Amino acid sequence: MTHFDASKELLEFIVDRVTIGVFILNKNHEIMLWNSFMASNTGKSAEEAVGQNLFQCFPDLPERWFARKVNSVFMLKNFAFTSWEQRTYLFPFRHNRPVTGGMDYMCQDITLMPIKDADGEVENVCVLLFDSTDTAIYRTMHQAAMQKLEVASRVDGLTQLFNRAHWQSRLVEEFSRACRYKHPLSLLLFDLDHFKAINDKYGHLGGDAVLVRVAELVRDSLRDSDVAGRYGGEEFGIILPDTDAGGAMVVAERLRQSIETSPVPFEDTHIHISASIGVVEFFLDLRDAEEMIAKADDALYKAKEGGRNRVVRSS
Amino acid sequence: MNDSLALTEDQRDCLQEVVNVAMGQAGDSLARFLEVFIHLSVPRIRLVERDELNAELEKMVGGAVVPVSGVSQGFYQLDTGSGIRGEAIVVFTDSSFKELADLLAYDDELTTESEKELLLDVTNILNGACLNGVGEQIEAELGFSPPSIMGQHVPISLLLEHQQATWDHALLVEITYTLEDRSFSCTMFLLMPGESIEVVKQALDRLLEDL
Amino acid sequence: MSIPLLICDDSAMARKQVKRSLPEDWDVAVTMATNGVEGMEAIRAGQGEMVFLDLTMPELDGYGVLQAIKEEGHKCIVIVISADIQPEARERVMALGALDFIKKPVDGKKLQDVLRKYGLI
Repeated sequence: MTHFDASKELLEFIVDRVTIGVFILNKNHEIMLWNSFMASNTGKSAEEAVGQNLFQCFPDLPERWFARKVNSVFMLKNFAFTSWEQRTYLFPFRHNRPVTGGMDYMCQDITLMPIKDADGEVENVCVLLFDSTDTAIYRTMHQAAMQKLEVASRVDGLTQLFNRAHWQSRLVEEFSRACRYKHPLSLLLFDLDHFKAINDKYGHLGGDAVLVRVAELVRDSLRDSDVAGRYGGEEFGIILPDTDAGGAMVVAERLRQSIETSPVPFEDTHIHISASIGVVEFFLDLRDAEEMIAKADDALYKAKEGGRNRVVRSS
Repeated sequence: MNDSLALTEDQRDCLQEVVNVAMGQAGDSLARFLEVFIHLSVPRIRLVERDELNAELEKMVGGAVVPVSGVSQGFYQLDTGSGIRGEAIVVFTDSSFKELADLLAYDDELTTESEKELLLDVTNILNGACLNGVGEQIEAELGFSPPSIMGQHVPISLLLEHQQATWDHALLVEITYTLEDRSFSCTMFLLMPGESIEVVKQALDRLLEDL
Repeated sequence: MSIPLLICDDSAMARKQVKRSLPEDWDVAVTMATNGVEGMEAIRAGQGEMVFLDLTMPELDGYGVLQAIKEEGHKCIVIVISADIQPEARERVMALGALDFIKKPVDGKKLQDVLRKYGLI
């Protein structure tokens, strides 16, 4: 501030008109200065506010919290800050994005500055209140987008089951858990019968409708701890933690029946489908998750060989 | 290492004493905030290059996988455009942070929000008192930007991963505050571009000349 | 005869600051120590009838030195010069037998005021 001599009137004008809330409190929390931004947003003019105790003037303020912040500035003679991310607002002000914002009130970042007298003592604290509603809106949008991306990287778009990469990594985890704790673990691998014929007859849309419906049937038949994924085009895998071969055979047979008895509505007709299922139970001689999948695949192949629409357990 | 930036033995000793005095002020502020007695230990100071920083930090917190939380706060010298500017980052290990929360009697499970607020408050107290203390001694008045959380419960290398590297050297200042019967420590480091380190060195030389 | 005076601080700058703050015409024989262990050796060798003692030091800190002086029964006058400005730090060193406490960074006037207060100069 050297190029021209800013008069007291000019500085007062700027403080008053800047689009930031500016007010000053003394040690008794009495308002010593109150700018236009504060006046127009609270509806209390400087004449009404100055000299009043802040918390008596505005009884709805979070007094315990804000008084602690203000007092820490007096005690430590140091700046303090609050962010909308911890507490959305101090004063319930309207904001300028009422339609598109999705926020109830103006989000506020606050800076508290010690004002030192000639002896270095802090007799007053200046509070700056910034409107951070726009930042908050962008941040919220950004977080939602990140969440979607994260889901997208794990989930198969058509069936909304886990994709192959994620499903396989879950199998690797469950496999090492089973090794470590000697817990039972089973795996189902199943394939829709004559899927190519369905695609040829009803087109890809028909094929897609079948895949979506089968995914629903899978979801309906699973427990929370089970993990289902789309392993290939018309091939699905289901991880059954804490389940032995007997339990896995029950799940597999129930799923086979539900697929057989649920024709898929498509255009004005119904597509009849069935599935062949291979089942394998974890045992300690298995080298790794890959080998477990290979065993399940063998069993699935035998189910196809044996005439399809059946469940075969790996020997 | 850029030789012109490296501190001479006298400068290092001088800075260590300056930080020691500032640390005393920060310790006093923290003690008043927490209402406990704080045991201070000798601060350690090193100048490191950007590429070495992660390895140094991992050593300080006790390993690459130790979960930490970090808060960053910008500072700049008032009244001059060519003065000191940089970022002060305070890193807490999760175990230390839990001690702190216990002490402040967050009886209930610490919520994410209250945890963030505590992180920001403690960082602001330490940075404010410590940097003002350094500033007073080298006759530079400093301003601060609001502290912001860089990451919570992550390995330390992740804290800096997303930061655009607009600095070349970091002055590592390791300050350990021990609370009686509790082990709480945090590490503060100052990231400064080379020209700011030059300004600091000149200020240290002035202090040394006065002796 | 000059008074054996010990300045015990790990920082070379701090030791110089203390030395520079001493009254010019004060007849003392100054010994420097860079940590508490060295400090105790000097005291045992009779080089520290008066001690200016820092608190935060490696090896043995100032509290440890005060404790050791008490236990070994040395008759030294100790003035603590420390950056630790917590009121409790002062209380603790006084309880351990320190004569007074001066906060860092030390200045000549303050140090000489303290010396004068106890009739040491």
